[in-house]
Amino acid sequence: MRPNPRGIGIRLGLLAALLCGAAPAAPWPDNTKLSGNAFLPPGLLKLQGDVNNSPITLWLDKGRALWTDSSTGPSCQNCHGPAESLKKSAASFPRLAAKGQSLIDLEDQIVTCSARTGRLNARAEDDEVLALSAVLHEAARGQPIDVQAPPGQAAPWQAHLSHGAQLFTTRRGRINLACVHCHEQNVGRQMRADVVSPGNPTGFPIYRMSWQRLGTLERRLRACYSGVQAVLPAVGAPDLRDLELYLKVRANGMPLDGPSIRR
Amino acid sequence: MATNIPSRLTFAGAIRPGNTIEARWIVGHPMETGFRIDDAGQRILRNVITQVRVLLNGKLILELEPGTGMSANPYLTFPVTVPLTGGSVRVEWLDDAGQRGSVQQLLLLEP
Amino acid sequence: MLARRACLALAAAPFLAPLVAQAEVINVSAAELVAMHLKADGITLDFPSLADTGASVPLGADIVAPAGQKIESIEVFLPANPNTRALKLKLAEPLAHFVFTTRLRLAGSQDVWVVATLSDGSRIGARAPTVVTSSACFDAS
Repeated sequence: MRPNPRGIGIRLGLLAALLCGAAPAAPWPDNTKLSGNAFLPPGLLKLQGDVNNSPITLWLDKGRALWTDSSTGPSCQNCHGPAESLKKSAASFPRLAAKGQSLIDLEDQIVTCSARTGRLNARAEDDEVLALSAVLHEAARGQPIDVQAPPGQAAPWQAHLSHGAQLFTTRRGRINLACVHCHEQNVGRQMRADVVSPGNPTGFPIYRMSWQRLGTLERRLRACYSGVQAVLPAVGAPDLRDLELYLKVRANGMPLDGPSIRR
Repeated sequence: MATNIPSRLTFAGAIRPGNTIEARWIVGHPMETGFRIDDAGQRILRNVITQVRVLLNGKLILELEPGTGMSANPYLTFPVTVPLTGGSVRVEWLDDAGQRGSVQQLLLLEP
Repeated sequence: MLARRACLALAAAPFLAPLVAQAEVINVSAAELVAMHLKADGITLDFPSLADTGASVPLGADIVAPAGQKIESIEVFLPANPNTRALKLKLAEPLAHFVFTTRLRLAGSQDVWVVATLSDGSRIGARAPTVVTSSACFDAS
């Protein structure tokens, strides 16, 4: 019996629909002014909101305990008071370091503070630093991102910002794509299990399911470099800070909503 | 080097004598499978929680033997029947590296 | 430093077995599980048919023992994982009804099996399939 072309066509169409429409039936948004939370599948969104189930709570519990821990030196509380009093802090990073021309992000500041208070070996992706970052970002929830040039240092700040913008629009890696190609031109499109978000850094630090750990924006940016098969910049590289500055300024005004869960 | 592994034990449901409530336990353990290779090409040693004991008022009610098939930062919910006078639930664990940990939560009877 | 200690501990494991916990690894294949012809009555599994990531897949299980029986222990198997037994729960006080949820780590798409051993030594078991999708980008961070 000859195969029915229309029947085959219908079956292929259904198969294509099944392959393309993985998660929710409604299409993903393509608005570039949205938080990453808008691109989470319902299961992960529910996990994020469930305090007793979410792994983020482990880091928040640890951070709250560390905030008042004075075993190695003065505690954070000793100088800063309660974490809530620093609620505008997370929204203003990255900043120009006090003495030089280099940019620092919130985790860099926590590492510096840690060294001052007796924790000399702290690194940005350590659980303790991540825990404190989580606490500070939780305190800053709802605060609009507000990254501005410091008075009197507009020139170096602007240079970092321009370099960040340039990095955002430069093709790189074996895959030869620039950030704009995905995060501006293809927002809402699916790549296997991932959905392309606009890349607004409102939800950091993130518990990325593939990391099974909390991580910083810097780590996520390095992951992006590996995604396009480019050489990863070293941890702490100026390029990563410049990119972070550009992303934050691009998202200025958007409310912080971290820490969050991501795929 | 003993790092302080965070853990949380909470309950859902009315804590009244005879009620069966849901206990939720989460622990911040990396559950290293032993299959991963680090940047230097060296295999990262397996370190998973291998034994968990759940005690209700000091008496063992549940014993778990997790393996590498449990995800990192393990999470488990299980039923607990509230005793007549309440009490406490304690979860203790042991991992491949010999590290022990525990978390406890009181069962405060609701009026 | 921890790695070195763990390494020494594992090397000395046969001599230190009582001191350092070593999980027995029970490997059973999907074929063996099917061959057991386990009855699934009384077991309800909640498992996503499509998992975003293999690293953390939520499993819910509601087990009701047949009339007159109690649940003594429960085992969760992932036959396509390198170590197929993901979890064993031993009920120190056997119960007729047990509900639990947890998160599993899957090496790839497969069925999860939840097998309960009853007070008379018999077993009941149910399985649920899932497809583990890959993430789009390689992450070397």
